[in-house]
Amino acid sequence: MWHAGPSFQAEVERAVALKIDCPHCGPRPFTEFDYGGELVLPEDPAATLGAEEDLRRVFVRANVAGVQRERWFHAAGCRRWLTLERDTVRNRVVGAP
Amino acid sequence: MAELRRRACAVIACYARPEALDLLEEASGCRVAPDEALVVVDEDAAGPARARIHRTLAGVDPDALVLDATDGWTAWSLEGADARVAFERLSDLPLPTSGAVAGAVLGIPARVLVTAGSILVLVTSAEAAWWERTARRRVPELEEELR
Amino acid sequence: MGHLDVDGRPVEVRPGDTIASAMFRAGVRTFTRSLKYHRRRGLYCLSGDCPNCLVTVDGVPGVRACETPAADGQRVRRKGGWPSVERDVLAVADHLHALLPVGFYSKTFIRPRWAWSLAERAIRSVTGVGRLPTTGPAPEAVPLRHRRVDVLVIGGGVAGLAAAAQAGASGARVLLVEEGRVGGRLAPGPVRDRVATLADEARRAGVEVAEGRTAVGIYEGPLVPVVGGDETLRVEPNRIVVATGAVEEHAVFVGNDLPGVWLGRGAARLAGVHGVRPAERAVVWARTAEALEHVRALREIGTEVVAVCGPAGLLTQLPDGVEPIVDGEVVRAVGRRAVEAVELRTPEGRRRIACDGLVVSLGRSPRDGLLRMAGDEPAVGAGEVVAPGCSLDEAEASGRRAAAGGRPEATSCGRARLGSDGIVCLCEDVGAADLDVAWAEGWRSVEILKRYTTATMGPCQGALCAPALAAFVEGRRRPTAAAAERPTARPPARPVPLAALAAGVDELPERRTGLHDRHLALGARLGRSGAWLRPFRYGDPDEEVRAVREAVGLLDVGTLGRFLIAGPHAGALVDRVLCCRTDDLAPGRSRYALALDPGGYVRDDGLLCALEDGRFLLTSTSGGADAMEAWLRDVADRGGLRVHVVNQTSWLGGVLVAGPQAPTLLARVVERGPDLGSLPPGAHAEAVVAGVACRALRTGFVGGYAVELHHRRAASVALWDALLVAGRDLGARAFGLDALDVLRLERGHPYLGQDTLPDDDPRKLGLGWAVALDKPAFVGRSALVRLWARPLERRLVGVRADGPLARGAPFELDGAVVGRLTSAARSRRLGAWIGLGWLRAVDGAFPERVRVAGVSAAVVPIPFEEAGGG
Ligand code: FES
Ligand SMILES: [Zn+2]
Repeated sequence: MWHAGPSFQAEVERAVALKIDCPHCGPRPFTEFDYGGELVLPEDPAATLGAEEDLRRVFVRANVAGVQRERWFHAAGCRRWLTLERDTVRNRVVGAP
Repeated sequence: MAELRRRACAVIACYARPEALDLLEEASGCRVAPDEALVVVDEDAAGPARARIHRTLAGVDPDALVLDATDGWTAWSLEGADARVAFERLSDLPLPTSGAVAGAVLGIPARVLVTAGSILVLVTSAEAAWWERTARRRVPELEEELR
Repeated sequence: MGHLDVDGRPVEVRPGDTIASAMFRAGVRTFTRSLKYHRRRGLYCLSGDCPNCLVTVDGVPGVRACETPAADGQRVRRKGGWPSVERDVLAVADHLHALLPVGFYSKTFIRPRWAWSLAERAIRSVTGVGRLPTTGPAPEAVPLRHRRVDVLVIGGGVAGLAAAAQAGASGARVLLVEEGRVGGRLAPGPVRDRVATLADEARRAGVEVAEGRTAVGIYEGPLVPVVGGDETLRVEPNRIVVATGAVEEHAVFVGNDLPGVWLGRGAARLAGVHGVRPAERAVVWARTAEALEHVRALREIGTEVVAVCGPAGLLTQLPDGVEPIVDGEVVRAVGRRAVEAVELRTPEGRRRIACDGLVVSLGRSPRDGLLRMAGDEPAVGAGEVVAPGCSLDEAEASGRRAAAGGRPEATSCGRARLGSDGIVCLCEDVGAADLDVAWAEGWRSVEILKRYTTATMGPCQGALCAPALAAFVEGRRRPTAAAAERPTARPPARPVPLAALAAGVDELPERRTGLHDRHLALGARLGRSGAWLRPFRYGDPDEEVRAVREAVGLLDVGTLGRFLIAGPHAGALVDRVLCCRTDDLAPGRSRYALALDPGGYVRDDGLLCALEDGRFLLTSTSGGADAMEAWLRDVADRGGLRVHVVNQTSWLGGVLVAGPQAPTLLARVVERGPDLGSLPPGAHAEAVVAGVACRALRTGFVGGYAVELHHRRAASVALWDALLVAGRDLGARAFGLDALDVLRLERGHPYLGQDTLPDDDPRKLGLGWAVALDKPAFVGRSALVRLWARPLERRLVGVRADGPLARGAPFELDGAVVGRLTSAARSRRLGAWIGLGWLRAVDGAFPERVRVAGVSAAVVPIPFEEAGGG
């Protein structure tokens, strides 16, 4: 299969400037990163989940107003994933667990 | 005064355990991540450099990968008294006085190596033509060289 | 010095002139017409804080005449007014306020709806603050520059310069931005002397002073965009000192916007800096000590100051000939084209004094928009912006404190004076009476009044009117109400040209393969496909399709994602990411592989090739390569796998050699390695082809015999040329994406993203066979178990019809929509139109025939045909 149509484009530089401190590259604007959502631990290969539980696993996120652990991919830099803690209310990175 | 020139060089991509990469003593390179480094050498020094790096890494990490990534990157050097100003027109990366950084230049992933005489910017070969065109447009001093 | 052309009239320019000072000296009093009521407006603040002097200069609208140096030959056009600013018949609007009520847009043209589009056009033609040019060349892109400094000082007055000098002396990299010229607004006197001394000190301390630059906002980071000086700066400072000063208070009384009414500092600047008399006979309304300096400046230039009204304490030291009017207050300025007289209320009763200038100096409101939008960014204020009206020494000390990184000082907001009527917001033409109406209608907070009346929303961004609006609300509330509330400050703090905002916006990045020049030489029509520039056709796509079906065709597949996966856990990673079996793949074998997301939906597909030493080569779609790399790394990282993922997409070229003659062609050019012409499906091998080391992958995408040759990018041209030359007598030719679209459709291969939806699991795509559900663990497995326990409700199907099919058309069955056509092409070979699309089950079964835009189409199994050759 081939992908058709535009699917991803480089970020146009934007003025809002959440800054993320990449452990490999240093502090960078968030436009260098792709957002990976809340941290979800990998599936337990052996687990057999009921349909209800499985739906939760796939679709339900905590969506907290406050500090959450989340994943960011440093696409323009080291191309590694980071897990960090961001205050979703102030839109500030508050730490790395 | 700033000039943008295509620079021929060989690029060696190294993947190994951090302790192994820590042993690398190559003069010009970028430690992209703990387990990845990009080494830039003169074209004619590429073969021996690869062998030397491989020996160094394999001694510590038998799974080390040393690959010729020359075709994947296109290198541009920014030279001249205003090279830093020109770079500020292309990127918000903090430029070290010497050393390397990985980050966005003109919004696309790049590796930037700073030496006394010049700023070397590596972008993927696929994006190189677009990058050069855009760089010359962004920096008025570089524009007249637009063919 | 030359002349300006002001609406076709020559206006003399003298050294040091701004456009405003030159125009005023030449007798211009009406500089603009107001937004709604077309009232005359003249010079007022001379500090860039009001909308009154916005003119069009050399085609650029919205230029502040009072901040822009005059230069010979500039074409200045005043905005508003028809037929001209001087004779504006639209000024009749001023007498028809009832037709332009506050909240006009919310109240009128609601019904009938069509009336609005006509009315809007009419309204637009008579309102606005200048006109964007619709013809002529687009303005040059403004260059962007990123700056990093330790301290950014905004404002080049006493406090700003002191802060900069102090910070510079301590070794910090300091950038000071000043929107005019340092000291440029100041008449000779102690303030200007102090500024000169401090500017000197700052420069000696290594401070970079950038004049003609305006900071337009403070964003997270902090990040401060600075416009002006023919470039846009994105400054990333560690700390910010805001020293934007204060503007004199805008007083609201009847006639307060007549030309001839001046803020004190504006009149003093015109007199002291430009040597132009703001008025012949002036009345001064004073409540600040500074007003006495204004009186001096006016008298020095030859203006007769007839009277000063204000509190007794201020009026003790007036020069001879100036009448003190103790506790006098202006209630009205009168005049047709400009001020002719003022009416005062005094303890002795009303008075009227003839004059052509009224100079107002009642207090100061801090120009603190930037400071208030800074949130918790490291920004501190210094000088008048935090202490309006402070002394010179206080301002300097405050600057030096700020340089040391003092805590933000609380700003105090001036208390504006409100008369019974008068213009509150000069930019948006909102009067005190309009606010009364809005209040009576129930809009009772600053933020709401702002939105309803648009007060504070104009070019001055509340610099003058926010305190007045706040005072209005305060005055209407019970005395216990909270202290002055002002509308939220947001960027931009100053008007910004669109071109300055567009600085650094480039064309979208474009990727090219190593064969780009070859495509051009072959006359290909190139187009974007995702981020890549790719050939769509070289000539007739039908001929290209025929070549692949009957002879041999070459396709540039240097865009495919290619990943080398190595390291101790390479096998574990591919086994987890891909839903097919991987553990039985011997070196030299490959398998079609789907990558699912945790929801069981197809993310991407490709070929997994097992290499020696437990390494793998994985391909992905062209558009999915970046996402695939991120996904591989994500799964590896979260799973704690020790593995190297090497994205070789840009390192490698790729050429697909397809068609019944491909084996013959390959046999001619393979120099070392196995006979690629007999490479079985599911196999890959290394070979040297026409001198180029390649990894050859047998693939099935277009149907028939096909091999992908992956090789180092720099060798693409040599390989491509050799294949075309060696295959000339076989009918070899290049084919593009248009032909590929037909070829893959004949095979029934969906394009991810075009034929698929984000929630397609493999079964919906007819790819259930590619899933090894008996594998104990892979990403998406438990979701598939859940999904597949239910009957299939929707699936991708092939359709075939005699009539033309158009992509996007709905599938209909008995008048009901049951699906949609996502791809269509005419297959010459099959003599029919074929397509792919979504079909829903109806009563548990999939219909066998649907109508597509009136054409009857059969639902058929895919591939539409098994092309020969394996
Ligand atoms: S007079 Fe120019 S902005 Fe007020
Ligand atoms: Zn990084």
